[in-house]
Amino acid sequence: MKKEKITITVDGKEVAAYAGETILDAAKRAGIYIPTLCHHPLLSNTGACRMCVVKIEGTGRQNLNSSCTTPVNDGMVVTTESPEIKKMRRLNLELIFSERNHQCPFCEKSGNCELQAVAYRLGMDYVRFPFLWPKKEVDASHPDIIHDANRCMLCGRCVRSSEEVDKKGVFAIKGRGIDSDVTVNIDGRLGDTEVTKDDVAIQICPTGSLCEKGLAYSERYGERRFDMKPIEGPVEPK
Amino acid sequence: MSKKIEINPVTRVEGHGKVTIHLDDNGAVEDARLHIVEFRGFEKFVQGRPFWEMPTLSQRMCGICPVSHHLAAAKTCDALFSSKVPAGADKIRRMMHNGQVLQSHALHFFHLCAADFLLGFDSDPAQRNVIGLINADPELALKAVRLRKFGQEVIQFTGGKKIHPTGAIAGGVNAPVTDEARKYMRENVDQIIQWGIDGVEICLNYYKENVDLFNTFASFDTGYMGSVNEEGELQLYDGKLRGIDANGQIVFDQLPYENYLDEINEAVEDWSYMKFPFFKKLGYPEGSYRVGPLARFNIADSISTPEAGKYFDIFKEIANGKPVKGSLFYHFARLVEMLHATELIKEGLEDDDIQSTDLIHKGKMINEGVGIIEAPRGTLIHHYKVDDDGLLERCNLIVATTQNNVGMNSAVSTIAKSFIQPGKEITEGILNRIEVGIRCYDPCLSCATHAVGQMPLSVDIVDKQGNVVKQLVRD
Repeated sequence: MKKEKITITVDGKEVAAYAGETILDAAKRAGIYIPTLCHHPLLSNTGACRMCVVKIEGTGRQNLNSSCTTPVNDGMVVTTESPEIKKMRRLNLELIFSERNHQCPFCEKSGNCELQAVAYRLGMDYVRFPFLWPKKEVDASHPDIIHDANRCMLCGRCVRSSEEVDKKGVFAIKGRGIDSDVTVNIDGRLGDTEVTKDDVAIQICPTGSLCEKGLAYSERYGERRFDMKPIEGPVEPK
Repeated sequence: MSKKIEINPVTRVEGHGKVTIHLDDNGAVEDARLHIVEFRGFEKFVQGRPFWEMPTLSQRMCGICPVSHHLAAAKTCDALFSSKVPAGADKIRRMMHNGQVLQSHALHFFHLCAADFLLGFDSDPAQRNVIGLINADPELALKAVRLRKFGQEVIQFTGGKKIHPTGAIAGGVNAPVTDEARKYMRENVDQIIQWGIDGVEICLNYYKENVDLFNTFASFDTGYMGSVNEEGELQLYDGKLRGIDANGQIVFDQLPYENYLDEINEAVEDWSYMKFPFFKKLGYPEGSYRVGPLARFNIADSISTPEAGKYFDIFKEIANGKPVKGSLFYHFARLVEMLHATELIKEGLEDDDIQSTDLIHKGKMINEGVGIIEAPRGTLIHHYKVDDDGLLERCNLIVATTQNNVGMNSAVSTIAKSFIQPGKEITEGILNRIEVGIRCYDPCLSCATHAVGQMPLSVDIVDKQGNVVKQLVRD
């Protein structure tokens, strides 16, 4: 079936879109950057991280909407950048950073980390909230993979990739609210699963939470993915 | 009435230190101690982390000699991975270490200590610092800055960054030296060596003019430890441990790094967070020893490079081959080591292996590893135990300053006893002399004490009941 073409306005610019696609996808095609973390083109969208929030005019609603989960309508008027949106994204980032132990200086994902790269791109140079310093265990039971919950931001990419792409369903989110955590086969260890380092779930973790063993710090400072240019969107799996 | 004087905190030293001087009823010095009053606990909070993070994680202890921790940790990781580090990687790491020795020794002497010598122990404290040095001798100050700059550039070219590099990784390094970097270093290294010679000459001349001061200032007996090769030649990156007693007799020799616990133990005192290592054979406190440039020069039979070798021979003549005891000689040995490092950098630049692309080797993972390096301040020991998954269960870090703990305390008490006398006013200059003693050993207590920050100085004079009867404060 041929997709119906419609027109929306993004940041004052007329953008061609297909009915039913998300604001994020339409904006991306038009070359407009909207920061994302939980979104990945290979996966379904859940709107978990709220980084991609935008303002939709004429809805009568005061709140911002996640552009990765909101479908376009003909004539829709969207603002992706404003002081208000900037403020909300930055606030959100600071909350994400304060919840876990995101220690960039010695993290092996540093320079290749989407969370770090988005924080740089959005100019988050400090965190105003007290750090919670949760004590999380590292699971290094898998011969090729390390799972460090200290660096998890609960985006759910691993959960969705394992379910939707890898078809293994190994990861899940357990607990509620601040006590949520990614769990492996319900409180199991990664070494006891059929996960491999080539699984999309491992490849597209946006932080240092899921890393391939043996690659730590193997890229020279200055030559890592986000050292020289800002993040443009989610990383591709190998 | 007995009194206690406190120097708190100690200045031009990174990290927090406090000195207390206990006076007896007559006002004579009874005892003096350097207290290490902070605690950072790296050994504890790395537990549970993957061990291959340690080269990057442990170096965050310090901003002056992170490379020493970076490399000691990398060597420990090599041991844990049963790695045979490829020749190219080994040479790149050595060059990184020599860059570190150069920049750290230059900082230590010129930026933090030279003002005491060139302006005088009793000169105005407002001028007695690196800014005062720039005003007094701009040409020298510029050379000092450029020496340090070159050292940091060497670190950048071999490790990726000037401070907190990430080049050394478990089993090797992550990149070779580039053509441009090698060319740049080759073009500049001869000038750097010349400035290194100039630096040694400044210290040597100062010594010749102040022979008595050097021989008496904070001069005391201890053992000494450092690394040598099979021929007894001084080694900075890798070798075997040699320990000698106060008379220069060998206590142990050719001790493989992994067996350090056969010869070394650590004592604990209730007034300091810092431990007190000693030679097992001699017991505590008799077996206390010093490490660092002076100790290395005392234990070594020779040094490999020609220019540094000339000054090494002069050093050996000072006490006719016996151990040199005076703490100020640390500075002389330090500057000769700095020169040695510049010469080693030049040697390394002529070796094509630094541009090799065979840079990593990993074998079977084992559960325990030791990595030791001769850091600028002295022997640095990293020792990890890991579980079968590679997560750290136990980590022991014995840093140079910890091993110099007894040395620094002896320096403090020797100086206090020499200069503080009953009925005589305790001047700022006397307090500075105590700091001069500490700074012979370390401009940086942070890795041993795990502290950060700069410090003003305050002196508390306290009676036997612990009441402060007089306080001198210097910002």
